[in-house]
Amino acid sequence: MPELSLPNWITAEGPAGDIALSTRLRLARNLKGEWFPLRQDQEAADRVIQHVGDALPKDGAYRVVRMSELTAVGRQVLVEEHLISPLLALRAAGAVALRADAGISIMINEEDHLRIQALLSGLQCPEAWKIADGVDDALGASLEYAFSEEWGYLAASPANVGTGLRCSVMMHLPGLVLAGQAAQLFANLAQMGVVVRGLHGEGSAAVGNLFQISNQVSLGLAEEEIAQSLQAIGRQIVDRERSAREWLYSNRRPLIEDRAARAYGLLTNARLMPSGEAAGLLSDLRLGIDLKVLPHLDPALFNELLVRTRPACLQREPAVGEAEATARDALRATLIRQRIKEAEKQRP
Amino acid sequence: MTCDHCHQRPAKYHVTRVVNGERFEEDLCEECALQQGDLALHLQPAAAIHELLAGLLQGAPPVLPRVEEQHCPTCGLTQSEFSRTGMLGCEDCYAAFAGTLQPLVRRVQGAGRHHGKAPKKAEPKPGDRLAAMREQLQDAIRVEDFERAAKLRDQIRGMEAHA
Repeated sequence: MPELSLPNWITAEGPAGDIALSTRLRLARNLKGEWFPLRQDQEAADRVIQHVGDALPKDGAYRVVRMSELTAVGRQVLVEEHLISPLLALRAAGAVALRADAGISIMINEEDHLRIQALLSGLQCPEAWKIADGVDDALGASLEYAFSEEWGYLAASPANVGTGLRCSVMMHLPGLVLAGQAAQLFANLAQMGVVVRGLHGEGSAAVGNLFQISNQVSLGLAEEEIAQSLQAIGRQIVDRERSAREWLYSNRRPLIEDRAARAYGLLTNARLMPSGEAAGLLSDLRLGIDLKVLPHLDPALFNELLVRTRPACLQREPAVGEAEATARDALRATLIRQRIKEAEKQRP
Repeated sequence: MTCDHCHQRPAKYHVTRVVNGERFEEDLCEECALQQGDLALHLQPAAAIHELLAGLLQGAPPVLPRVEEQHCPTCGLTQSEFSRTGMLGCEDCYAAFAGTLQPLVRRVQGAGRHHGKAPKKAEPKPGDRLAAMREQLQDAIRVEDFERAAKLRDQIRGMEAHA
């Protein structure tokens, strides 16, 4: 399994990083003259991987990994780090070209031949567009894309035709959830063409008050417009979350303090920690950190633990194989206790 | 081939019907096929179950109406496969299913035309761009967006002057 360091979005240093954990922007592209991946045979899949590999810069910045070279756990780790999608993990003919340090991941033979992704910390839609645009231009200099003047970039799903652009921002919204304002906000966002989903994308429920907010429309608007409008909406959600937190802090302070303190107590003492419970408690802990109820902890710790405690990432920890559920819960509890203890030593 | 029913429009569907063991075949256009309920029958398999049972009871093998389906000439994706999965098979599907796609995309995406970047390799020739802009001008006039029409007219004039 290739060794990959945690992706750069973990650092929590991006703009509005206390609420917007990461921004991901992807461009769907298909090669001219090749059938779309879900209809291609192995030979065609290999051809596409070959073409894309040839089009990548030769400086060795990217590493190309085929899904067939990875174990199931190895693939799931990349999903949990948001470097590939759950669909790509299932595609034996799929591959990914990674530059994790620069936050670039190019999925090959997912639903489309290419899914160029830029992944940044915080709320940075226009910046993510600039990165993906640059990669797209570089690849497009030697690859011929399926494109029409009328439809734009031809995608396997008509829902992605046009710019092929989808920008998503992962947001931690405990304030809005606790204040009971999340449902109404999401309903309003839907009317503005903004889609809200749980943490790990399509078909999964929200884990630990984490939501993914993305544009629905990919046709008829220029890329900058899509990125900027999502940025503006993200900005507004950040402001609303901040006011919800302020309201909670001034009006429901004992509740907030109690939740943060209980989360801290459980996370630093529990001996078995299931993944769903961990996500909920980590969310309470992070809210406590942000509201200075637990001022001695670093917010980046929350992002790191959020990823490292997911089932597959956990199995990558040293001395653990394909751990059984109970053993995993024990390992998760130990990892969380240790990391919090270490972080407290570093920041007295 | 023209439609066996109206003798005017081109035939699109080949319909085979078995009534009391006797076989009838005809080539129909979409309108006539719809009118006669042949397409509805095809889309509602449940409605054909009693025919199957009837066929079995009569001891004659049932022959269901065969409706020739629209498909992509390049990758062979059929209309019903597309309807089932919502996924297209290749770039040529966009032309093959243009009739279904346009209203669908308009519903999902709101707009009908790409306004974003174009690949460097597919940079349109000036002639193509002029044609596209003339088309957009006609669209603007049709929806009485005269401000946009005036802007387009000036751009086209400018481009023609440079050509």
